[in-house]
Amino acid sequence: MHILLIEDDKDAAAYLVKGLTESGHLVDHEANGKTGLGQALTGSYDVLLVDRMLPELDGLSIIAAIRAAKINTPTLVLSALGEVDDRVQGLKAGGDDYLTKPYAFSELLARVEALTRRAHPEQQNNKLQLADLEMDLLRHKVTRAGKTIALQPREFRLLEYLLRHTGQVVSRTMLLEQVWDVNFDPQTNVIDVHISRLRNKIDKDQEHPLLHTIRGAGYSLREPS
Amino acid sequence: MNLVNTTVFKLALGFSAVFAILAVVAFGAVYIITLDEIGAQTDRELELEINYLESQFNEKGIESLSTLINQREQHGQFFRYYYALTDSDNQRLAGNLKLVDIISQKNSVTQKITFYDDTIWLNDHHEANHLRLAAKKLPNNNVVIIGQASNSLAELREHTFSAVLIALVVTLFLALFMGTYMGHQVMARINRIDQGLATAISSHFKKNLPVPKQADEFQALTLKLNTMLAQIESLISGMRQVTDNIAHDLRSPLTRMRNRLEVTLLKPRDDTEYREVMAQAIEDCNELLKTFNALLSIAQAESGVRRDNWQTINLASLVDELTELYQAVAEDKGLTLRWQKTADVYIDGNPSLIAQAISNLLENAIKYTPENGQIQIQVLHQNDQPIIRVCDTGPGIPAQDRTRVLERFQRLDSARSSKGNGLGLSLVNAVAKLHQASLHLADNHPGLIIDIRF
Repeated sequence: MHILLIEDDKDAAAYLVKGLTESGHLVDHEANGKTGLGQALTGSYDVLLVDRMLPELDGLSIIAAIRAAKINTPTLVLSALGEVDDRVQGLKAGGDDYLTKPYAFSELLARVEALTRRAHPEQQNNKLQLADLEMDLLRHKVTRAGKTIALQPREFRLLEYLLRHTGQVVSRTMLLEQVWDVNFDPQTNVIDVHISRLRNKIDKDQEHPLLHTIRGAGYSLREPS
Repeated sequence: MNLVNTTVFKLALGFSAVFAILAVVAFGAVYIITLDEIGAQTDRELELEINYLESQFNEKGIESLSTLINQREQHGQFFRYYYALTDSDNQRLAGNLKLVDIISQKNSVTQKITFYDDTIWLNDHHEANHLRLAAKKLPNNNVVIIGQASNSLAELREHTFSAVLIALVVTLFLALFMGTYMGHQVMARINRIDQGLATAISSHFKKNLPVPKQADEFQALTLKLNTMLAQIESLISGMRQVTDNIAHDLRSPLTRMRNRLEVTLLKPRDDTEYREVMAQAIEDCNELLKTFNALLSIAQAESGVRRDNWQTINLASLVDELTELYQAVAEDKGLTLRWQKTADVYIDGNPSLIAQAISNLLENAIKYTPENGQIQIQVLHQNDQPIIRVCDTGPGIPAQDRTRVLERFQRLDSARSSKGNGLGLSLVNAVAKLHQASLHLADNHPGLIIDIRF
């Protein structure tokens, strides 16, 4: 993926560029708001990573400008402000996702990759599939190797989200936000419990597990290798 | 403090000045009105006398009038009048007023009565006399002039003036004295507060001010200052405790992480081991960040910065969702988490913070309640007051510790062995305060009942 990073903190930018490059992405970096906007306006990027506080032109103005120019590149706002209300502002300004410093790199990577998927939604054929796991969205039915799996409504949404992000790492925070629609820091392993229940239902006694725990990052639903 | 520099003294001075001005105006008015009245009285008497003389002339003629005037003048002490009667050639016919000054007035004298003041040398005396004079032309062009000594009036004027002056000086003096005295009194009381404050400051806010016995504004002020001192004391000790605790609670994981990394570097190891150690370091950092984030959230909730952009929150549906989220965790631990969805209850607030607070309560209940225990969460609406209530059958919190556990990093000794940073209830408390709600802890026999009452 071709990513534009607009971030004035040199150290943060350096490790983001390094991390994203090593994760297989092509990263351009701009350290100031104006040149960043110029680059973003070329529209040749798959994802924009925009810091909120920038010299010359702040992040939200950049996003407003590119949205006004009808460029729909998915954008992740990075912010040190870290307030829920700031988050709302960031999303209102046209950002697609919002991440508060300090953030884990794995969280950032997961969200960047989720953004590109969101920007290119799969064809709506009412069916999601991974290996022998199938989800029928219309009939609310899940089968593994032809056998029906009974899921609670929330487990169904959890699996649906994971299926829509097959092959990607999704973080616990992303699951809380997207599946449970809550936005706070649980002190306990509440997501892990739900994942483990889901895993019990779809992977139990299977030769090739699909749902993997990625240490320090989150979870990933993957083709058996 | 110097008395002259005090506000009270300056006020007294100011009031004295205002008082003096008022006194001058009042006394001045009295003075002027009195003099006017006396003057008018004199004029009326002169007019009566002159009218009487004119009526004598009209009835009995000029000769008779001359006789009458001379007669009346001889009884001058009784009548207190000086007279002059002149003919049309300015020759004096009767009376003993010298005519030099009178003649100079004569052209302006008409058949209407005219009043004027003059100083006149009397015939037989070598002394000046201030006279109030009335003059009138008779029908035969003779002129009658009557004078009354106004020396007494001038004296009265002088007396009044000095009386007013004395009154003024006394007033000013009294005002100043009273101001100083009252200033002194007030100063003494303020000084007591001042000294009390100095003691309080030098004792690091551990000492209070002595409360005056008299129930007045000084007592009210002292009580308020004492409340403030107590608050400062608790803030300071709270801050000291927080600093101590942060240092203590963060030093251990930091040291652990540092040592782990250090030991790893002692000799070359294989890749898997490096990865393992680094993954652990990341875990440690995550825990530290969680603690910092919780501290930051508490601080932000306490400072009230998140009070804008509030929304209406349906507590029933929020609790419904959170209960669903934690149901699985409770079940895994062998606990029953009971929740009966109730009628909608609305509050205004920050949804994320309220969700965080409810989840902290649920997590605490799940963490501390032993297996086979019961947890119940309720959303109530009692007397127009929305309440979130979480009950558990865990060990509960002893009554004497129920305030302490709301402070940062405070954990019960029995809880020290379990995982946690001692910030959960502090955050709930801060969120409650931000929403003008209060936290109530009670005994569930056994277990804990905790209410957030909005």
